[in-house]
Amino acid sequence: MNKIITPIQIADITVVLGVIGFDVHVVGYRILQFALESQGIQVVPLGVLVSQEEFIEAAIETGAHAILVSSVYGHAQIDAAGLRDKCNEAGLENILLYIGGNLSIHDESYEEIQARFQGMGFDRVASPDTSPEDVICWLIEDLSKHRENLSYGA
Amino acid sequence: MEHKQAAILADFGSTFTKIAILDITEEAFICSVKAPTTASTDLRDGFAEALANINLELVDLEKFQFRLACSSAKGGLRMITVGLVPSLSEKAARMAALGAGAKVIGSFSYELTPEDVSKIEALQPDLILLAGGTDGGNKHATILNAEALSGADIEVSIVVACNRAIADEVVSKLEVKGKRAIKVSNVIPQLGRLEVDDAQKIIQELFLREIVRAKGLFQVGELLGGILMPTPMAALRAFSLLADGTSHEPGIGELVGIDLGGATTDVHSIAEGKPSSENVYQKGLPEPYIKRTVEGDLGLRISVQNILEASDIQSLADESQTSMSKIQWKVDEWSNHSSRLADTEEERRIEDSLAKSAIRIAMRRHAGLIYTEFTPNGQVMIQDGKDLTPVSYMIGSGGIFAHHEDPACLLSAALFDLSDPLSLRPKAPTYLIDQKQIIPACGLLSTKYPDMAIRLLKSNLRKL
Repeated sequence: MNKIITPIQIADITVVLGVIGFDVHVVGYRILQFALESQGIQVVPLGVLVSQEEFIEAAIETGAHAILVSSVYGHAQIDAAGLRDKCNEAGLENILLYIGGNLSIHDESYEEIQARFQGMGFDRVASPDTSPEDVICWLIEDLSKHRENLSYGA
Repeated sequence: MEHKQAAILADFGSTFTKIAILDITEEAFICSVKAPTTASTDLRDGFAEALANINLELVDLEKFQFRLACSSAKGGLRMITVGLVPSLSEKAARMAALGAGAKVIGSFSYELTPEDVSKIEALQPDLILLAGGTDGGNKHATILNAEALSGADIEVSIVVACNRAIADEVVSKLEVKGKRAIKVSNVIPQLGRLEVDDAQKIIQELFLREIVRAKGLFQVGELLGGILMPTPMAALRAFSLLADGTSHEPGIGELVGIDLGGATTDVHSIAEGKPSSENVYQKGLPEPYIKRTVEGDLGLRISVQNILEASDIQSLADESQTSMSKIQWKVDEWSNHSSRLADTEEERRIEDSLAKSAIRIAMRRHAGLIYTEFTPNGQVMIQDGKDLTPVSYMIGSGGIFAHHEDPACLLSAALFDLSDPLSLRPKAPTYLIDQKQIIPACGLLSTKYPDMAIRLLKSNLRKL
């Protein structure tokens, strides 16, 4: 028999949110921060120009369940490369990694982009059409799935 | 003179016991005297020796309206800090301890290993500050660290300033093994928010209640009603009072205070340090408005060898117009005989060049950095730490400033330097010199009469 899944309480969710690399586009990040906070999710806002190390350090200290990476300027593939490996190295094996924004400068379908970032270890890949509500639903769904070992120390 | 209107303010330093006598009615220092600190026997001996230099009529202690003391004798307040991530809770804990006037003798992060615990036992701190996790954040590591510390062979109190959600559990894990643990607010309740006041208040109380006694400094209690705080805290209070003022007396504004001593160089900044241009992005943990750093390895006597090692000896030789071997010789002499003074003209030049080097290094470590990143959106400026370029005053305290002919020349080593433009040091501050060495005394006085303390600071610091 399958294990019974208890949905996570939304107020128990902590996410780290930031704009990665040398990107300073802040609008999508702000909208998402506002949407998540208005639903009671604890957001750790790192702002713009965030390095991979800063995402990881913040996630360890705050016991976050997910790292939400925003990137609008088209260099996400370079900026986010190796983030999953670094998380594993830092003891964040179970943390969720989401990424969203303008993730490619090429003429590609969303499916192609999604596949590429999933290959890089991201659990969810948001397109410019993804709504903040979708992100909240993903969080609840993903976190309810593996509640017992969420993240480092949480 | 009417004795009831006088106060006695004593600073039991690591080498000297300094006593200032203040006329409260006239708001003026009557005299200041010093004698070697007698920490190995009884502090009262050095105190009496210093007082012996004063007109006997004054020396009936009962007649002083109040008597206050601070101390850095017997190593001062030696603390160990423990945090989780080095750049976050560990840094927050370290800044909290330094701001409480402590000497941070060890700093640990992540999960304490058995080796770390042995190191802590060997260091024999006076106090431990245990942080880790933002409120609602990481729980796991601090609980493990509490377990590790609970089994350690240490007798000292542990101040618990971690994730609020587990603070009680951490305290009980420590208490169950017989450790004294005191819960305070988290030093880093959220990422990007530093909250050090509560922890610092408790650290000061513990210093007063336990540490002074444990160090055998309690005899002073009979004379002076106890030692109120560690000397660095008195200095920091004086600097922050001078900058911010009180409701009756305006402050002088943002400042940097540099205290160069025989063993350490302390740098204080009372300044926001926010980026001065809107094109600059701030990175890293925000630093406290009242910030103190200590270069425990940079001093003019006991640790003078380290200044030499951190400096370019050739440029020291050029600056002091002497040979490299002469510098090496003097440095060896001073580090072995900490009471020797620089007597000849040449020795004074050597000492000056070493002092300037220590000031330059200490200020560079204290001030923030700015750097440029080239991004697809063009150039972006990033600031890490405090921007102290606009600070209006720079204060020099410590024996070398008090007795120097040209203290401005020493302080200029702390200025913004075009050859090192990324270091955000003060650009054009007005210099003030603590010629009468009254800063710790005024910090002590501020606990009773803050308005008088700031007026005394304003009128007694010499403007250059």
